[in-house]
Amino acid sequence: MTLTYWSWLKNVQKVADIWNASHPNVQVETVWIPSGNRGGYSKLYAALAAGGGPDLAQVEMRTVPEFMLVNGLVDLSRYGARDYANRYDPALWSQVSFSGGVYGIPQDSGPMATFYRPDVLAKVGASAPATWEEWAAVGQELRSVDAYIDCFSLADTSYFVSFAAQAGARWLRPAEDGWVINMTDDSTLKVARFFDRAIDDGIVTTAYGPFTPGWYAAASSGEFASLTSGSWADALVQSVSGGAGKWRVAPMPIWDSTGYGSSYLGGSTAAVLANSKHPREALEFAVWMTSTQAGIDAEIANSGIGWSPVPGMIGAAREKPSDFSGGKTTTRTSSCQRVSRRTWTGLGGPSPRSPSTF
Amino acid sequence: MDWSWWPVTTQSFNILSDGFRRKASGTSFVDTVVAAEQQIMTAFRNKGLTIRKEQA
Repeated sequence: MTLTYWSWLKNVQKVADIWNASHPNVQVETVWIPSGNRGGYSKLYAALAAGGGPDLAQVEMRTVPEFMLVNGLVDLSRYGARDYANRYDPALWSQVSFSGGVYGIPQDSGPMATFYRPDVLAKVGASAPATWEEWAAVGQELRSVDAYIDCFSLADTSYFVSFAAQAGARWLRPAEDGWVINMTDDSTLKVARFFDRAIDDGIVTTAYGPFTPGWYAAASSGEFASLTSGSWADALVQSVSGGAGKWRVAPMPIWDSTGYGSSYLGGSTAAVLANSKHPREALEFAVWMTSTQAGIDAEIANSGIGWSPVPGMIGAAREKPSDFSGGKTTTRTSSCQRVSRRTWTGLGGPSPRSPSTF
Repeated sequence: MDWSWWPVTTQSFNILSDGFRRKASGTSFVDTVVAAEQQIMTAFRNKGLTIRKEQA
């Protein structure tokens, strides 16, 4: 049989080819689609509505419930997905678990950290801020040397959402009688007030968001002292012109007494779509790709995935020291993971979802 | 961290960013978040989903 897999990961066929070499009876063919909301999801929704579509598709963590709403995903618990749960970060597994079912296999995530320029911070005698309060104070100082602590994207609100979650917010939760919303909790309003003030005081620029052409130009000229973003931002920061060797990574600032030490920004799953004729085999491929050493190493080498969803298996390429660690033995990625582990796992996942939620 | 994604996430992000863009004309993030909550509740109901405000 041949499974089809639609994804916007680059060169993911090379990952599938490694599987294909040892699974002659279950071959995987990949098809590149535009990333999620840039057209990929439209294609998937259209294919599902027409009764077709691939066996597997890349679906972002945050989009899994939207595909569930149109009955677009297979409940993989019927094919033994729970047997693999202990391989994965519990916080990520909980984000694919709804209504007692499992609706995707975690593929990567973006535990957050602060990428910073020691040379720019040194102009005001500062180091990477440990708290958001320090972040604001250093940001104020940096304006005297024509630098910003960071930018704030008005167009991409995922950063704000991640900061609110770090502070302890939980905007939506499923309950027996439907969904329960709370966006006006103390944590969210504190974060909203904080960034209202940061913008009013001019310590961040809203002229552009991270990784836009304007941001790259400013970062290249040393205008930014730091960027708090997902672990996957390391490759993008490294691509700043003239920035080689100048950036380091630190835990993201914390909200003093409340919330968590870090947060997540981004993350995808490999989901099995509703019209698949071979969901069991599709599940097996998804698990191989995302939780075995061969699969993870191939995903990093060929597709540049974000942070591995498997604790303790970060990928061979990421075990090595990098420029971000200043040549020390601690890698940039392990810094991210320690923050993530300390704050996300062992805190208990969301309670079981109610069948009435969808 | 106790966080759940929900069925109208994309629309919710768009509602928020529409509000955030009004920051320059004087709409605070606090005002945007409060208004977004109401708009997201409407979006849920338009999809036939049941939603209620968390009781304090």
